[in-house]
Amino acid sequence: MVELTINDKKIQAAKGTTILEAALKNGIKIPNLCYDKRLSPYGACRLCVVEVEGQPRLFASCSSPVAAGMAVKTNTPKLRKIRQTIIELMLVHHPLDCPVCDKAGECDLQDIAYEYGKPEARFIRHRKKAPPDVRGPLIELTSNRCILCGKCVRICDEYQGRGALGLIGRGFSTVVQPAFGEILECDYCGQCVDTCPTGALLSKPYKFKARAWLLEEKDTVCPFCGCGCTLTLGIREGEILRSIGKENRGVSNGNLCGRGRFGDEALNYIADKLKAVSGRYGASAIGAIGSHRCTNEDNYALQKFMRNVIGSNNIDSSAAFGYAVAEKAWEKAFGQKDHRISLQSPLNKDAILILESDPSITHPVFGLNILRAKREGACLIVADSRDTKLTRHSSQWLRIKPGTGLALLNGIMKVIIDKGLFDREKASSRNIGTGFSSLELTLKDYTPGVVCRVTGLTEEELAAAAEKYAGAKKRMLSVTLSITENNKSLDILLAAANLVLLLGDSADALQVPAEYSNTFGAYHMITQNSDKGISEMFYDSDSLKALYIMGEDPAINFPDSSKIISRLSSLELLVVQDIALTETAKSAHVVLPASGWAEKDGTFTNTEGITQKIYKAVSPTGKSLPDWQILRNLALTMGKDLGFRNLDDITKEINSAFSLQPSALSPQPCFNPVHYTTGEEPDSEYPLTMVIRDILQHSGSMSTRSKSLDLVVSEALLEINEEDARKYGIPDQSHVKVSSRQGAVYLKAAVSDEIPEGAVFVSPHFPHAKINTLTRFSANGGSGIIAVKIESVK
Amino acid sequence: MGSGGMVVMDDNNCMVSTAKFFLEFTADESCGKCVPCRIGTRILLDMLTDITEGRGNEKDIETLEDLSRDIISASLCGLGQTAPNPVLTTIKYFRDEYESHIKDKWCKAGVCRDLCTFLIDEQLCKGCGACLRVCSSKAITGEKKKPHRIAQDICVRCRSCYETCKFDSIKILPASAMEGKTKKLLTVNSELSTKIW
Ligand code: SF4
Ligand code: SF4
Ligand code: SF4
Ligand code: SF4
Ligand code: SF4
Ligand code: SF4
Ligand code: FES
Repeated sequence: MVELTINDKKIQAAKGTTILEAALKNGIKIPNLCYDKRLSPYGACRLCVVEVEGQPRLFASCSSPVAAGMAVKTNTPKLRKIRQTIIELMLVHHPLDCPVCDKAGECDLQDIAYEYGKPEARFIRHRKKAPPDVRGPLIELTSNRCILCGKCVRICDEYQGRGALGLIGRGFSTVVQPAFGEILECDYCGQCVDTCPTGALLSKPYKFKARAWLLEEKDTVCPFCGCGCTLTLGIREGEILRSIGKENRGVSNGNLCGRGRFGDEALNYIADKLKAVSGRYGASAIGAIGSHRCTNEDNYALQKFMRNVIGSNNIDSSAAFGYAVAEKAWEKAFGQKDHRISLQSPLNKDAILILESDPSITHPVFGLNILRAKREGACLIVADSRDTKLTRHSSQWLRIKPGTGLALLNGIMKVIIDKGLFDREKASSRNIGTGFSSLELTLKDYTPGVVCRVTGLTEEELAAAAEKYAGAKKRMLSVTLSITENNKSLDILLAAANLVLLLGDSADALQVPAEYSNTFGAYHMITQNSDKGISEMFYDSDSLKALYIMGEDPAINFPDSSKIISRLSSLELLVVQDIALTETAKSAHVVLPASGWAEKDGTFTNTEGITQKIYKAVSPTGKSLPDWQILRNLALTMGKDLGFRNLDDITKEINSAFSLQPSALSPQPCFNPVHYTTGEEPDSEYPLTMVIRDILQHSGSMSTRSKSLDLVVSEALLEINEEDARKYGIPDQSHVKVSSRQGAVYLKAAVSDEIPEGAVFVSPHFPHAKINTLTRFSANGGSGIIAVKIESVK
Repeated sequence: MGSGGMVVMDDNNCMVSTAKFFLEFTADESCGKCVPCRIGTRILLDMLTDITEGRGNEKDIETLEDLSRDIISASLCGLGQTAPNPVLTTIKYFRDEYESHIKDKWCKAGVCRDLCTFLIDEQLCKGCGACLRVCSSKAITGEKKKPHRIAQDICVRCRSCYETCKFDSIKILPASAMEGKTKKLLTVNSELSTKIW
């Protein structure tokens, strides 16, 4: 701690903090335009200059560290005068089109000009005349309004790890531009728009929607991924016009809707039907599916409705494909329950190994921390068949063949064992049940030669990765597992856990983030402890006669669509309760419109196991109600009371029924040796391997309903390597027919050098693309790599 | 001269142009990162250009000094912190030159082409013809031993004749000296020139 005075006020500040930070922390305002606490000091706008006693020069407070005994003045006449001049200079070429600028009202430049500016302008005006760059789909760059604070460039590069924007030129003619003056093609994270202090970078969809001061702001939790970021929604007359991130959070422009017809008639019909089915076939013929898109309260109400009103324990959610599999691995390998990750876990690690995943896309904030750890010196080893943001930032990129991560892990362990890079005593003593010796036995076959043949790596690459990872002091391994990826399953988690145990690391060394913002919550509310799960309800038997689906679209989202659709249409009663008319709803007997996430209160539990409140931001559309309320009304119609009248009641019940604390089971680590098995091998008829992977702009079929995101990727793409495109005669952006043994779909081809030869990549998130027509179900999570053929469509 | 270097000059030099020359250099060198240097040096250069082209106005000297001082205090690196020095030094020692540029629109050194007129004083001219020979624009006419004349509509104010005349017969007057008469061939009698001097 250092003691100094700012404006005669005595202040304590930690060593190394800047004068500006110290001042802000103590409520002293210093104007600034190029400072952002997430970024390294820049010192370009010079507005933050302060006087330091005994120093002839002024200090830029944003980039000057505090020193003991310093006497700082932040608001002397001299400083005011200099700030006035700086503002005057900035306005020399500023268009001052506040009346038509969406930033007006929350523009830092406008605010500071208002505070410091003076009416007289002494200097010749150089109006810049560059036309706004409106070519990009979501972000508009009006360089005339830019003050070159460089925040956008730095946040994109330093923080987002993308480097899509640059300061081009020198001196007076410097401008901010996407590389080579091209159209801005990037992650569309919107960080640059949020950080821009002027109206130079603006969100296109929000353009001319409302003046900032007419917006009412409400914080809520973003439902699109597992990180659970806080979003600030801008609302006018009950309509959400935009969502902006606070601090380091992402932007996703939400667009919610609710349709269908809803009334007592419908509830009466459902009640009668449910009773009839239950009477004829027994309660076990009725099942329900909840959703990660619904709140904990909604999911709790659904399971209570099923268990208490219907008397059936057949209830599940899509967590079954991802997070439930992770939980299974957890129990088997570590004897623990409630696997939760820490978004901070990558920090302070010396080596990070990522397997066939790109958390920077699926879990952006977690991904940012991985990138940050790398910047701070961690060795980042990424095993992936395709070129991703993470591979580009990696220390070592292991370009393995799709779906061979498990073979790689076994190979790494074999190297570690053969070279003695581990503590044999510790590894052999901690086992119970299956022991170290059986692991050793299983790994016998995974010699570098074999592993390299399977994965396509060189033996040197394999050895280097194994040595680096085993040699690090603090390690971390991360894999994502979800319904939307087909290249990983339970086995890879078990193999990863074996590696963790082999090296004597604790269970935290393996981080498997839950897919969406409330997957963790949905799992705990619903999936655990149920009788028939998704696998039994849809794929195994046909004993189910009635199904109640809340917030899920199995016809699109679950593997093997044709099987799902035939199951759905064989039901005597299908109720779909959702915010929109989904594909599944088309087969439904009754559709109940529910409120979207921004239209209701409740809680989400994120991948860290932290429960956060979401608040109703807009009133529900039409006649839609929150899911829990519909279920309560339905129960009342059936003559039963669910026992709660409001959210608080449910929250109380949840708190006493479930403890979301990590289980107190005594951990029992155990090796689970697993063999690598190939997925569907390509053959002469189906010569390509198809990998399903998330692409950045969409994280669920919910966001495909967002108009603005559709501008970026409005069609499901089949990404294909240049060589293959040439070989199969597929021009870029042309339509292709993709067939597997299960079925065929039509997609648009995108030729990309990020894709390895012999494989094609598709995104699971476009309902109309119906990717799951091609997939098969696998009880171990993921739908398994499949072989496909492609044909050009003329 | 400001940036530490020293420049030796005589009264054939225009101080405003000299300052402008330095600023052209620094405005070009500015990396563009910080506001005072990026925009400030450009503004200084613009103002100096205006003064040398006859668009200066009364308040400019004060504004130049004021802005220069702010740029020096606020810039990030040595370049911006010294760039305005030539402006401050020339104003300090040659304020009268700035004033005559601004108020009289007169560059007495004949460097700022918009702010001067070259005239041959009939009384002093010996008719030696030296000026006629150096004038590459062929603006000078005259018979041997008789006073020569400069055609103002042809003269590009290059100063060659002025530097050549051994008899000091060529005078530099304000641009306005010829107002209304420029289209005619003219020489000026010494009466007029004395009045203006
Ligand atoms: S950026 Fe700010 S100051 Fe500039 S036009 Fe927009 S609102 Fe006005
Ligand atoms: S949206 Fe994100 S990735 Fe794109 S330029 Fe802005 S900061 Fe960079
Ligand atoms: S576009 Fe905005 S954030 Fe980027 S340099 Fe210009 S003013 Fe700063
Ligand atoms: S003062 Fe230095 S940093 Fe600032 S613009 Fe000039 S050259 Fe660049
Ligand atoms: S050089 Fe001088 S003296 Fe000779 S002709 Fe020209 S003006 Fe006259
Ligand atoms: S100033 Fe130059 S152009 Fe004009 S008369 Fe003299 S020599 Fe000729
Ligand atoms: S905030 Fe310090 S120079 Fe911009």
